[in-house]
Amino acid sequence: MDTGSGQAASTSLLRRKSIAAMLGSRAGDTALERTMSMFSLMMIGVGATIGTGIFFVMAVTVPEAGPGVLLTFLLVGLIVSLTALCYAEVASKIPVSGSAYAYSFASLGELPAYLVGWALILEYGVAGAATSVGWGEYFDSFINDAFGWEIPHALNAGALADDPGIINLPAVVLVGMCCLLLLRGAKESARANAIMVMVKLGVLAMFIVISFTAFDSANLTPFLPYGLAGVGAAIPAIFFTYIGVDAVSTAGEEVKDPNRSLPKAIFGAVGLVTLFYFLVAVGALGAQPLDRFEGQEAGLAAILNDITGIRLPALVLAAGAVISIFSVTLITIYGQTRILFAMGRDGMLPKMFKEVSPRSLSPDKNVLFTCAFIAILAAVVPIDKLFDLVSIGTLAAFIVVSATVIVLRRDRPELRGKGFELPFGPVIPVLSILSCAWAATNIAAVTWIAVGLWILLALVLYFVYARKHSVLAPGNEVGP
Amino acid sequence: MKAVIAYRDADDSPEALELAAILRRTVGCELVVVAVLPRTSRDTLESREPDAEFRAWLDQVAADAEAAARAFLDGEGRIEFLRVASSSVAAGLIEAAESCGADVLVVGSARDAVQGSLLAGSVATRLLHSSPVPVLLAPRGYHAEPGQRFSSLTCAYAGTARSREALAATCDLARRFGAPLYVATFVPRAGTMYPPEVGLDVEELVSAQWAEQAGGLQSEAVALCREHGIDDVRTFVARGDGWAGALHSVDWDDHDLLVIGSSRLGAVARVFVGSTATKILRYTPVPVLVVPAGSYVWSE
Repeated sequence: MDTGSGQAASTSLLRRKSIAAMLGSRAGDTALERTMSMFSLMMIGVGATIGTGIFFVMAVTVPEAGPGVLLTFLLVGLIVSLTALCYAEVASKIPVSGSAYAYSFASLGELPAYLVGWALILEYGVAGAATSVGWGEYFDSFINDAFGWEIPHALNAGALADDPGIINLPAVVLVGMCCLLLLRGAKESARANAIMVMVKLGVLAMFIVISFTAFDSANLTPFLPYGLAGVGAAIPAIFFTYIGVDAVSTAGEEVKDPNRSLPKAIFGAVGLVTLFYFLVAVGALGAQPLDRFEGQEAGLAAILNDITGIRLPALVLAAGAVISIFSVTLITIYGQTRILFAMGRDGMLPKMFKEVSPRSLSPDKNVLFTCAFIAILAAVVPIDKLFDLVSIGTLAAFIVVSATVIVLRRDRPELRGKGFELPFGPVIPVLSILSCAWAATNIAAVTWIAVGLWILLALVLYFVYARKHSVLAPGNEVGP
Repeated sequence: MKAVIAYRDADDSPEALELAAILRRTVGCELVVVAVLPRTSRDTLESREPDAEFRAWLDQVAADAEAAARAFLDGEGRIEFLRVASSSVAAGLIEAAESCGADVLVVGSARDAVQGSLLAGSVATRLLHSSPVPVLLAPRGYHAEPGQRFSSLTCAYAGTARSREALAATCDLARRFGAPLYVATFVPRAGTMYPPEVGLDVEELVSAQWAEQAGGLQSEAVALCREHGIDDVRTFVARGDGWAGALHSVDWDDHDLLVIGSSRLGAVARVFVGSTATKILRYTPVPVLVVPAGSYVWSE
């Protein structure tokens, strides 16, 4: 397989995959039947988004922003809408699998795509670890409310937490369960997703109703105890709660009348999600004084416990959270394995990532490696540190996809008029890039150092391995 | 070669007998029709009226089954009939197969299967994962005209230990058949997980990869066949949506025979895990010979 690169380095770093080759066998298919309604698409977006963060993000963000966190939710909702629109244009012009990684391989070239792939490990892999840690909190709360049992601190906090334990066992167990399901080839169907959406919205609605009975406006003053800087500081964690909204765009190729339905579905999904988040945040803020938020585990269940003084509502909420965060974690880990699979197919990662096991017909080694990586992170690192990493990865992917809109319009004029197109020229992608870049400036320096090391590692591996093994390297060409 | 055919009731659908007939025509094997019926307490409770009635009824069932089987199969050669008393049909069949040194067990589809589809009933499901000899099954309503033989042999091959056993059984049959041998690798495309965050067609990547790997595995299979004296081997990859799509993408003749391997599973695993073999059986349009792990070795 190894062949020296005959191409000049400058071109080989930006070599691109052809869109026709990426569509592979699908290119010959008749156009995909557009059968999905705008409403189903919107529900896909809601299902992919809610459950990632809202159940545990208040404990991290309120100490940073105070009630001003409400502004952060609105701001991030706006940024995310802009980016989701950009995703929609790119996804409809390059309808390939692999999300931002695949889009950038077709438009920006190999090295940028490779780096985006590594950023997506932060968006998916690290997010899977974060949701597992959050799940652990609700699991603790659930078994405590239901049976009165308590897991010892040493076994439910990571070694790097502010109040360190030994290992976050519940989180590791969750990753292990997801791993088993993925090895068995289990898939969450569209119907299961719809049920999950109902479960999540149901328990959040219950929280909103109950928390409003204890609403005290005094808890919302001062509104900006830490000023606008506080509102900005909360951005990375709030961003985390919106991860997954790009699913609307990737699923968008199936929707009827995409030019009208896609933007409606995106705004509908982001709008509905933001409405729920906003109401949950108002309810939580009104129900307890600001100083109660810091370090509050399984926050929403704890608030219900305090308000009602009985266990049942908190128990129902914790059960809903345990179920829905499980499903989100499963989907996130699954997404990660498939992105690594796509990178493996392109020669960007070693062969083990693309090998399909003849027994299970799924990429078992890839699943095991991914789950081990996520389990280690979940075992050791506390949730707030994970939020920041995820947000950087996500913002990087968002910026790249927004830039891809502009690059595709310039380099691939033949795609004009095909699929969904954004109005107002380059205004929306440029706004999306600028707002994501601004959001990224709010991330703590220590996280940037970690990410810098991450990118350095990626670059080293690129020049040591990926550049020579790429499917685009001379002599390595294989079928799509 | 000897085949044990499970048939205990004239009301049983005749696929097992149809299969036995076509198998005999193709490879010229001896047939033993076995009726597994419940044990009765003959020694201790002889005087009791209801028990005697039950025994008489069982005798009648066995006699009817024998008459029906002979009427169906005796035209083209004699058959043996054996009545086995056992509290479990699957255990009774295994016992019969072992005692008469059978090489294959022939069973029908479950009675409530839809015409044209194969539903492994509780007996067949247990046999698939525990029979000491290969098990031959057919979709409900399978029918072969007089004189019809199996037209070709297709071995499902995925490079696993159990598919190598299936290949061994296929080669052995091919030598007796003189029928063309195909090595097939099925590539069922899984549905994507919802919500589809990394693309609706992401499983297409996985199935494309598996199809590529299948090419290499099939070369191995062809070499194995050649080592065992079968030179006329053709290969194909069958791709489609799920097992149904993959199996239906093949242009089958009604009398093709598909040979698949099956792993040994305990009772709990059978219920909760299932297996590739049961998925293939569910969608096959042609008769299937299932080779449970350890039930076959290369014969020279």
